[in-house]
Order: sequence, then structure tokens, then C-alpha cells
Amino acid sequence: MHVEIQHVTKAYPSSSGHVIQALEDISLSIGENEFICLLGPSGCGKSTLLKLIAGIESSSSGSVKVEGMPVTGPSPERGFIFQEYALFPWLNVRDNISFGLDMTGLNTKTKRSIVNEYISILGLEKAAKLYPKQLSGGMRQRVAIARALCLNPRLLLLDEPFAALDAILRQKLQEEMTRIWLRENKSFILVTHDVEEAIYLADRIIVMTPGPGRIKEILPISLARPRVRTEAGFIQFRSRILRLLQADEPEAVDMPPLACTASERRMPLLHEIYSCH
Amino acid sequence: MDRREGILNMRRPRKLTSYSVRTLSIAVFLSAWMWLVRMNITWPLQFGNLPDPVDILATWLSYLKESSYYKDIFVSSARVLSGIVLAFITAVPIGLWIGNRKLARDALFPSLELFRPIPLIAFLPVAMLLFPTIESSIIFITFLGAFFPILISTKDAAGRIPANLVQAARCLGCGPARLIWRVYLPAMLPEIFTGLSVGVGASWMGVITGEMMSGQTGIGYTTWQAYHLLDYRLSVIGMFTIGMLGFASSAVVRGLERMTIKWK
Repeated sequence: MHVEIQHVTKAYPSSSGHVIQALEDISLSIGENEFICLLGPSGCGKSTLLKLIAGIESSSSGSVKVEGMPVTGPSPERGFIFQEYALFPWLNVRDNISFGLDMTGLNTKTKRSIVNEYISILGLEKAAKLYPKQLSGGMRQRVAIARALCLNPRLLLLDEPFAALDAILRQKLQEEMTRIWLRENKSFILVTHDVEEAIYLADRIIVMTPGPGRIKEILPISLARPRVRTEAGFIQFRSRILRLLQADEPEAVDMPPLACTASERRMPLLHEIYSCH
Repeated sequence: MDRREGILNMRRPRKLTSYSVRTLSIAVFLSAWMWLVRMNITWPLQFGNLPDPVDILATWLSYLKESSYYKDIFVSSARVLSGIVLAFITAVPIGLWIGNRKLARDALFPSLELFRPIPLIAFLPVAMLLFPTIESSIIFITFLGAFFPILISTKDAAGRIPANLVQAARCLGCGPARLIWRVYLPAMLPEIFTGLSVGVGASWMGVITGEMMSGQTGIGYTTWQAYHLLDYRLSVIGMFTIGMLGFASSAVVRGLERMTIKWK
């Protein structure tokens, strides 16, 4: 699915009456079957940009067009996977996955077979009757992915889908995500603050910087799939992106970690976030 | 094997102790009551005026054979049930509306808040003036008892629905009308039930008040009427019956809650 973003800005009124500029003059074009990662530290507006494409939020100015049509609201054509999964607690796994299909005019039998297909693709057979509360984080994420995919959207939007998972599970789901993307004919746009995740998954990485949210650079990742995290090419991309992100925060690089005050400790500095991956 | 047996051995006496303590507690209460009545104690309260618990039990057993007892129970329960059903079908939509729309909240909530602190019994004169029959005015009181708790809990629940669930539903193609049935109502259900169980208690209070003040039927009427006819045993039987009905109603609400809310 082709997405065209032109000169988009987004401003919020803050509680103290100021205007917070979340996005400033974003222009971006996303092609058919492309895997895009929006990468940047918190506050760079990457999630906001994703929600603009989904139609959950609207821009202050500029235009977001999908297949040439301006986005006016959410649509089942554009699947969205929320950071906290947003599963319906009152529905079991099967009914959660089937929620979107229930909104269509499909008959029960067709719906059933589609749901079964995605239950088996994501390995949820044993969990089909369980409620979200009974599932682990990784399982919940799989349900959210199945729920979005079974509507056969042509664009899948993922808002930090693996942020709440542990490192091993995250890598496993990243592999699965690549497999699903190769299997389905869809464009994926994934928001992340994890540099390695972005290099592992993306065709192109959109590096964003905060205050106000801007596109710093667009990096095509030319590595062949399946990608290996220890390969020289992978590591080169990694240090290049880290340099890009750190260039904006000179004080973060210079500051010795021991000199941090207690209040600064709670909010990790940029280079601390990126060097631990 | 040994360990399991050990646990069983530990558990059984504990459960047994619990039951015997409970039975003992009731026995102590009844004996104290009997003693106070038979000794004709008049200080600090006039316990001597009360009927004897053994007499009450005997009267109750014979009263259980009378159809009027069951008719009273039925009439009062039917009033409570209709009051609750009416409250439920009005309070939930209004609560959802004022919880979601600021304009509706500003327009309706102040006047509703004006009535909320008024005790049910104080509504009775106005109810009698407003409604053509005594029956409908009693049902109105039971309705009011359930209405406010359900309204308040629904309103609060509507304001607390996670925004990402609503957004997720919209992204999955859920339109505004379906959103109410498929997202808002199930998300609010646990809190609606909390309001309902408070409301059921208030409804019983309302029906007994109405029956005592103005009714000609029902368990509340019989309880009060028995006092006037100096049939104190029947008054006490009525009192305990009302208690048991209230207890049974809460149990029904709890059962319904367990049946509907399986995901907690």
C-alpha cells in the first residue's frame, strides 16, 4: 500500500497552555510491500506519526494520503498494533482475533476458517480459549498480530510492538515478523527505539529526532535477509545510526554517568539507551 | 503422600473449628436473647417487651404453611425486581451518556445530584402525589433506590474506558453503534455490577419503606401491621424474612456477576 506524507505538522496544547510541537514538516513516501522502521528516542513523535497514518489522530497541517486518498479516520485496510496490545479483556483469544471479522458481512464458516488459519500461523492453538489476563506478554502480542492480520490489511502499523518483552522473546518475534512480512503482500511500518531491531527488520529506517519531531535521515538497509546481528555490515549500520542519534545530544555524550543526579538517573540518557542493546 | 496427608489433617479440623465457632456464635446470640426476655430485663433497653425466640420459631413454622406469607414475599420481590429492571434500563444509558459527553454531564448531572442525597423515604409524599396508584408510587421508590447507585457507577466506568480499546475497535472496523455493544458495555460491566449490588440493597430499603408507610400488601406492610395488631412475633418474623430476602438478592446478583464476567 502506498503512503504519501507531505509537510505534516502536529501540535498539541499542553496542560500549562503552551503548544507542544510533536511533529514538524514531515514528508515521507512509503512504497508497496515495504518494511519501514520509524526509529528515534522518546518524544521524537514517531508514535504520533504512526497514529496519523492510522487515522486515530489528525494532523495540524499537511496531508497524509494512502493510495492517493486523504486519511480521514481509522480503516480495517490499515491494521494497527498497539504498544500495550489493547486486547479486549472480556473476549477469549479466539473472539479477540475474530473481532474485526465480526464487523464484516462474512458468514460464520468463513470467519472460523480465517481465525483458525491465523491461530495456527501464530501458534496460538493451545491458548484459543484463554482470556488475555491468562496470557504472557509474548502471547498477547501474538494475539494482537493475529487480530490485525486476519482482516487482511494492506498496511500494518506497529507501535513499539516488542518494547515490553524480554530480549530473547523479542528476537524470536522479530524473526517471526520477518517471516510474516515475507509471506504476506503488505507494507509494514514499525515504530521502535531499538536500533538493532530497526536494522534487523527494515528496508528503510526513518531516523527521527525530538524537540520538535523531525526526520533526521532516511537510511536504506541493503543487507540480505535473514540478517545476522554480528555481521560486519550490521554493526556498521548500528554505529552509523548511533552516531546520528548522539549528534543531537552533545551534553549526553560528554556527561560522565557518575555525575548524574538522582532525578536524571530515572530518565536514561540517549547514549545509555542505545549502547545497552 | 505424607505431606498431602499432613495438609488434609491440618485442614479438616480448621474447617470444623470454623463451623463450630459459627454455630456457637448463633447459639450464644439466641441464648442471650432468650435469657434477656425470660428474665424480663428492662435496663438499659426494654428487652422484656420482645417475644421469646422459641415462641417465634414455633409461630414461624406454622406461618410457613400459610399462603399469605408467600404472597407477601412474592409481592415485595416483584416490586423490587420491577424497580431494579426499570433502574437498570434507564441508569445504564444515562450513565454512559453523561460519562462520555461533557455537555450531557453539565446539563443533567447537577439536577440529578440535587436528588441523590435525599433519603428514599422523603420521596414518598411526592411519589404519592405524582403517581395515580399506591403500587406505582412504591415501585417508583424501589426504582429510585437502584437508580442512583447504578447511574453513578456507570458514569464513572464510562469515563474510565481505556482509550486504546476504543481506538483498537475503530481500527478493526467497529462503527459507533456497535462500539457501545461490543466495547463500552462489556468494559463497564464489572462496575455496573458493583452499582447493581448496592442498588439491590437500596431497593429493598425502598420497598419496605413504601409498604410500611402506604402499602396494603407486601412483607413490609405485614411487618408493620403486625406491630399495630400487637402480634410482635409476626413483626420479628417479618424482620428476619426481609433480611433473608435481601441476602438472597445479593446472592443472585453475585451469581449473575460470576456467570457474566468470566474473564476476571
